Amino acid sequence: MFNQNKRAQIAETTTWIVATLIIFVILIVTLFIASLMGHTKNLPQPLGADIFADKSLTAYLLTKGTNGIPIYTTISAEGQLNSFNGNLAKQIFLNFYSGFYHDRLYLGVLGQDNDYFNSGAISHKVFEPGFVFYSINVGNNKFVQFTALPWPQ
Amino acid sequence: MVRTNLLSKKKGADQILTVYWFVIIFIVAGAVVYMAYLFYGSPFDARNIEGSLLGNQIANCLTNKGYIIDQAFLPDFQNNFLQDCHLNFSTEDFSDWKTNTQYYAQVVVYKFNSNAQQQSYGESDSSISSNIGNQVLTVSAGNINLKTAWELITPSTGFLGLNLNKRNVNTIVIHDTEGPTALGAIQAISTADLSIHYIIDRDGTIISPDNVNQFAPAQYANALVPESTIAQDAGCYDTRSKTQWPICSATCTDSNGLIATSCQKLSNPPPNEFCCLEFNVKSIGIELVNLGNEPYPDTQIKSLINLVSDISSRYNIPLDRAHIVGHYQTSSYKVDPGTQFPWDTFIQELTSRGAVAIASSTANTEQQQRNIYALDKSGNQYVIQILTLVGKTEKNV
Repeated sequence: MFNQNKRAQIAETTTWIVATLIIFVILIVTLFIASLMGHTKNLPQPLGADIFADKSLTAYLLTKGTNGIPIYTTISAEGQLNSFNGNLAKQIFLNFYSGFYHDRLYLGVLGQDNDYFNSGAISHKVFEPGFVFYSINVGNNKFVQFTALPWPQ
Repeated sequence: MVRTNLLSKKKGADQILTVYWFVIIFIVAGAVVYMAYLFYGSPFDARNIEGSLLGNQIANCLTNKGYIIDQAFLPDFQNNFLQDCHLNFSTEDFSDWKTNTQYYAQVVVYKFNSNAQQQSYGESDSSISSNIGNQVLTVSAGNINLKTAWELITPSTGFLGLNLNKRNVNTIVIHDTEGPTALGAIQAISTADLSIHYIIDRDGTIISPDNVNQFAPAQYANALVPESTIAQDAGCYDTRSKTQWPICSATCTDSNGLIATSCQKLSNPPPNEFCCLEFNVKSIGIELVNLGNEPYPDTQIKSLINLVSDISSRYNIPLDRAHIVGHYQTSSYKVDPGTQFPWDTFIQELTSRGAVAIASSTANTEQQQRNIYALDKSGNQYVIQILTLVGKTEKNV
């Protein structure tokens, strides 16, 4: 009788000890997982804006050609980039911004491809999420657009 | 009676069980709270956004509707860059925020050469320098040590960066300036036609060739040379009176048996008469701003430890007194860095830190470098290069 009671007590105690250990193991594992998941979080950069390209675009359009006429007037009249302003656009925008967009940037008249930028489908991307897009009305219902798709961060 | 005992025993066991469950519940609840804290309480890394905001603010400050602002070229703007751009870097609790703040901003304005060779599509940064003309403006503010560290880890681009051609360096020579200010030292070194690689000011600021313009007029900038250039700083060693230094292989006296005090300046030294150019050839020199007879501030020594540790890691220089020497050990007529220099604690702290590249301690510095094309009112073309560095602190990470 005594031995049976003692054995039962030992079994019950062992059960509780094992249960306690299991609880602690589960806690430690979940704490470890929480600490792994809770590492420093990056705040996402706002998409769709590049103030540097925007400012460069304005300055580019104000640049005067050898004939003294600003680029925006020339584009407005000709409806497309020419060899002067097309190559200048390449020198500015490919040099300064290709690190951020590589070949995924375009500058030209809204919705049109040109000979100076390998537009692919980018020239037709307007207001799509993730794209940097600026357009400036240069008159005669012509818009010069800068479109670029940043590399994913 | 027996039944009563059994009942009371059972009641006691139930009470123990209740207490046990309470303890377990408390532990589990505590762990859940701690897990929530671990997950939701982890910091956000705002350095990227801070760098962008800083760059945007500077861009807005410097240009307006495509034109660079007229004031940018005035000395007043260059002296009050932060105030004029409504920036305040002294947001930390540090009193010496110029060396401890986590921000650094630099603006360099170049002439834009639109007649440069035209590129084919796909050419990018490698040819960027073809459009870059003369540098017309440099403005900077913030923790210069962030910049120094960033440059040490940034390969030269030919556009902004240092030429890091490595020499075969095996010694670091520590000097003191024997004067109260970094400016005085720069002027004196330049005037004497000597040179040095780094100067560390009392507040820990590391002055290098790249930032010397912020501390001294341009005509004295040749006092500091990049690590890739042999500096004229270590002097000669008199082999008659002292034990010959291991890396010095010949005599160090002139034909009259006198100590050659200016052997580096001789354009055609007679053979075997001057030896100690070896020290300059194989060493990197660091000047500490100190009168020579005063204690060295902790901030200055700490900065020296970081710099020496970094240099050692890059050139594989052993961190011992055979390879990190005082100027007095390379020139018998010199006494610097003086008796106040804490050699024992310096070497002790240096060896305990080990050869650690500054890069590893500043690898978390967020750097952003952007360019803007702009005009002035006369139609001249410029490139404005804005560099922002945001270091890691407990406040933003």
